[in-house]
Amino acid sequence: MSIIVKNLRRTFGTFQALRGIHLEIADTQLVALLGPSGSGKTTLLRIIGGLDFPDASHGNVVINGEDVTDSPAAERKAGFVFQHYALFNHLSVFENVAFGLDVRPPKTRPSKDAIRDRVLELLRLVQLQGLEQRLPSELSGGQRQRVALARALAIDPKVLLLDEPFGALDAKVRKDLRRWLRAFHQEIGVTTIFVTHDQQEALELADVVVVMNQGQIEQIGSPQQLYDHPATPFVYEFLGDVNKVRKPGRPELFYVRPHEVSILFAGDAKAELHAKIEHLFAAGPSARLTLRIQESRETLDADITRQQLEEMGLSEGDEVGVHLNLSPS
Amino acid sequence: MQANKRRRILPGFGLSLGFTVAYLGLVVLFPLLLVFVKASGLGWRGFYEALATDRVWAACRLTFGLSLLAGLLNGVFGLLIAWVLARYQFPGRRFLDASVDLPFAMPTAVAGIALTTLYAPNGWIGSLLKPYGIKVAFAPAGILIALVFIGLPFVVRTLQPVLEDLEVAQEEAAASLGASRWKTFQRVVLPQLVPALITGTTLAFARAVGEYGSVVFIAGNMPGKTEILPLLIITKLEQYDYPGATALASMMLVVSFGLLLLINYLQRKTLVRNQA
Amino acid sequence: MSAPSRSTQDPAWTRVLLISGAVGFLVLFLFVPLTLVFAEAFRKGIKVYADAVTEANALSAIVLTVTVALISVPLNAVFGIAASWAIAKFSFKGKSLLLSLIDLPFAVSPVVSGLVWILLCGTRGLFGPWLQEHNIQIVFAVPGMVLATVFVTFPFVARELIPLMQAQGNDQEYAALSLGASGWQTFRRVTLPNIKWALFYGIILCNARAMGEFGAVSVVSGHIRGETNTLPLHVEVLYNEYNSAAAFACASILSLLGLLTLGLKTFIEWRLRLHRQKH
Repeated sequence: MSIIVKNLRRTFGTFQALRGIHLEIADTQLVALLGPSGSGKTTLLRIIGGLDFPDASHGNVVINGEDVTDSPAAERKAGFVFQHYALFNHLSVFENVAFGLDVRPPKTRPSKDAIRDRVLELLRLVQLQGLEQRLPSELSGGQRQRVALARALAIDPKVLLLDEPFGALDAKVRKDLRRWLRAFHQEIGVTTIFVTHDQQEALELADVVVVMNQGQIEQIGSPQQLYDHPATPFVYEFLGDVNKVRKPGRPELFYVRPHEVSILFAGDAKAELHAKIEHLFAAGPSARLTLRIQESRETLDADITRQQLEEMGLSEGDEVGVHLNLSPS
Repeated sequence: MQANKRRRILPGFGLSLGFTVAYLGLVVLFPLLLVFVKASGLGWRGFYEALATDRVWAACRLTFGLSLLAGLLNGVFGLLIAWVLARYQFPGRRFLDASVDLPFAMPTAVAGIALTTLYAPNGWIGSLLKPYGIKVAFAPAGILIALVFIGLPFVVRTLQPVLEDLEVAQEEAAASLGASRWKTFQRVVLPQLVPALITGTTLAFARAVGEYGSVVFIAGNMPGKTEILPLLIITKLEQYDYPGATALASMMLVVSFGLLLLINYLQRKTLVRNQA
Repeated sequence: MSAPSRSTQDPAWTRVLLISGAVGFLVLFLFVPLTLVFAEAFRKGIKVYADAVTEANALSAIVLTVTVALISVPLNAVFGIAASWAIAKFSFKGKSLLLSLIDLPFAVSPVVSGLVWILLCGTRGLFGPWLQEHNIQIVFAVPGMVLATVFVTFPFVARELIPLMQAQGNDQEYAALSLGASGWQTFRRVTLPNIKWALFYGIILCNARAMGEFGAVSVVSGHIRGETNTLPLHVEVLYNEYNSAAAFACASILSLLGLLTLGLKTFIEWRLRLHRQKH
């Protein structure tokens, strides 16, 4: 289902958490809200889910054509997965997943058997069959995450909202779960928004990435667009490594990614700058050079292939020429 | 109003806060306020006359003096007990730990008659002290013992969590720098316990000032000698001296509020220190 | 708590000395008086004991004690739940002031806690004339004793619940709401199970104080035997009449109540610790 957020503001005391957010999300998309802490991404997610509200008459939330700005969370049918899962500690995995169906009024509540079938189906979907009777405290972090997901899905949500879904997991589980979530989203096809501060995660997983900073949206686009054509210096810096350099005789600052730095022999006529290799680290197919620019004394990171490194016979202390392949932006 | 209402995600704010404030106001604040209203009705002169008697002055000295002494004694013994419970493993430790709360759980009247019987001249302990001419029951010493009994858990329970949370690494660091155990305790452990120790002692003191049930039996209640403030209030009530009782009560309330504020301040300070 | 390493281990003689000091102090101040209560209660034999606790005035004192507790404890439990819901789940101005005010009754002398009701409802009190006109007896009667007990035990449940609910945060409640639960369902099915042990704990402590309260109740009770004497007041009367065996017999019942409270308290603390370790 589509989500439209219009002109949204949210103030906590004197702190402006959101300052005029406009966002349209198409049906079945997987969207990442990406930004540093304090950028307002979680506040935006909570407002969409009905767990927070915008300042009075400052903004609307429209889900599937219906203005839900003033509806309480219980009426929105937004499946919310909390950062620390917020599983009900005293209930079993089964009871946690069944909760959203159990609390329905008798008229719309499915029969006991129907609830049972639905819960077991969901647990199969998140690959937790056989763990129905466990308590949350008896599960691993990744398993809890999936129980929270199944619980949110049980109410047939119009949208799925995930707050830092992998934040509390260790690196290995994080990677596996990321891959799994991608496939899972394709399978269920529910519009999904997740919040993250990890650019790698956002770029790998999402169809659309919304970069936020200080309560505003910096840029919206596909991962490719964002990486190749960052709209602002903030996006440039936040997505991937970037060098900030000056060219001789030019006042402006240039943003250049390490792989966009060409290393030439010191005498090469194409060289714009001259630098000394301060540190060299080669692992895998590429090598990372840390350079000291002779003209400005600034440092510059450059990535080159292992092959080039060997062909040029570079080592620490060598002087080289540098050319910046600036993409037009 | 509408905008404010929809800010609350969870329901029941108005109901729960409304009930809380109404009940608090009705059961606690309004009655307490009335004491001050009644006392102010006496005027400064009446207030002064009600309080400026030798009997009141003697009761004040006795109550505050012995409460302070009891608080300090509790500070010493409370620290000892908290230290032993938090740091040493020995058989019966858990049992001892649980029993520290006995003065909280025992009705004060029971403690009162038990201590009196124990320290009376013919009691188990009183008879042992009698040959040396030491009189405990029906003397200030008896009041002190009752106040120490009632205040002990406050100090132990305030110190214990602080002691348990102390970093052992700090003591190891002190030891590695060549400090003896005693020096380590003095210079590293004790300074970190001081805020909690003061809080606990103040709590015990505050409780002692108002204590009635455990003291009234053992005190002897001789006007001017072993009569404590709470008892004096009751005596005045029984003599239908309402102005006198009200004046005394309002004075005690001011002291209690002062102590409560002090304790709140100390607890906040302890919290900040421990979080830093 | 990890075992202390050798460098932070006190020498054996220090340990023995300090442990003996602590144990000695506790034995002298806690266990000897407790033992004395039971020794004195049974000094004149089982029969005197049984007579003392089954005598009509003792029985009516027990009934009154239980009645007063049965009214005041639920009132303060409901208050505790309401106060902790408002304070822990919402942010509003004046919260810390409210927290301090809730603690107020703990700072007030029991005698003053009784006195306030005499000033309010006594014959010469604020509502005295009105109450007399309508023939309602509050002070020197059971209602006054309930009010005094409510005042004295006011903070117990709230104090246990507020820090726990603050620590638990609101996420589980939010999760329940986003799954479609109503406010009442959220409270009953999510909040209540999470606070039940702390609630029980608060109620136990509240009850022990309610049944054992002496000073406040003594002020507002008319000391009418068989009518307005609770068990602690009955103990006082017996003791002052030099009926030591009967006084200690009744005191032993109160001591058993105290020991039971202590046992339950220790059990619940153990449960709560277990609960915390699991999550």
